[in-house]
Amino acid sequence: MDGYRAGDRDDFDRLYRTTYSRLLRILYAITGDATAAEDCVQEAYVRAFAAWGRYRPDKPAEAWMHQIAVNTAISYRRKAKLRTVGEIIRRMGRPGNTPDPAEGAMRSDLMRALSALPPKVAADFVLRYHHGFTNREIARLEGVSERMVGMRLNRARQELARALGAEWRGELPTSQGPGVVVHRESTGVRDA
Amino acid sequence: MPDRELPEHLKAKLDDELTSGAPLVSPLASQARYARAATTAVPTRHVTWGLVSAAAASAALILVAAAVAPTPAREWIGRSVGNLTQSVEHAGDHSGSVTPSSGRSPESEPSQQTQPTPHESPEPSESPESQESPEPSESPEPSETSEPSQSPEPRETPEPSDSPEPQQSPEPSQSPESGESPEPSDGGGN
Repeated sequence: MDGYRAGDRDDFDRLYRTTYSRLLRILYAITGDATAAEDCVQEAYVRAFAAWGRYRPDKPAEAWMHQIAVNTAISYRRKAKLRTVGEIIRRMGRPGNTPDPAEGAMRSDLMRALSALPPKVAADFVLRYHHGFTNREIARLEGVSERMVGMRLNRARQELARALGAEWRGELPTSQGPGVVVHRESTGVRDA
Repeated sequence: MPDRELPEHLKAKLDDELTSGAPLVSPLASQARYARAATTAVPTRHVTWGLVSAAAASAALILVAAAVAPTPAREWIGRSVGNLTQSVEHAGDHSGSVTPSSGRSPESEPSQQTQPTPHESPEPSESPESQESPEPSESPEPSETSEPSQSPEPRETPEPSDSPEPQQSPEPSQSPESGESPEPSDGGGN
């Protein structure tokens, strides 16, 4: 995570290789569209590369890159909402006002529910349950408190449970161990 | 607030959705958009550098022009102001006897006027000097000098060279001295 030198091209390439896949998944959850996620990720790296000379190592480069990517996705979603509103107004009064069925088929219920979450809530959910970050690591990555991360995750589970079923509300761990590995093991034992 | 955990099958579903939806074919760093932008930014830098150099060159030209051009302009302004001052002084000097408008007559007139007063003083051209000198008491000169004063420039250059100093100095000096010296001598002698 450390050892990145501001303005160094090789270090930025290394940062790209290290963070690309994770950011792509997070932005896919935020946007709900793989093409848009890829576009946002690339745009985020372009922005980051333009500001790479001004990067200060007082903050981890991956956290810095994460924030740029999430902000890029937020901008994309805002523009997409405006486009949607404009499209609705344009189609108003015409037949075929229903949503495109092909679009619904391409996007699963889970991805639709994830992309309906607030961007930072969706990002925390993916980091926690897909990438296996702890709340503390997420808090450090995003520069927020662990309590904030916990609230976001709780909100994500509540929203997903409302959209997809009660099982998405999750289950309380049998032990109070903070590590992700402990939870997985306990769950695995229970399932077995 | 206890942190809830998702069941494994939900996690697996989440992994599958994210992995299949956004395939993890991480492109090479050289193929990333920022890498292409960096390569295309090189000509932009050249263009920017060219614009900066052009701006610097134009600024240098403006500075040079500002340093050189104003000097003649100021000289010209100074000359014109000086001429105006002289003309105003001339007009003020001659205002008692001659109107300023008549003083600006053509140059041919002075030549005609110099003819009738060749013996008196051709100096009317130098109006200030002629008036300062005792000659103004001689009535013919002021009346005729009105026109000579019209052309100060042509007159000042040639005439002073001809007879300005010799005439001014001899007339006042000779006449008063010659008149005064004999009188005391006469009176003193008588």
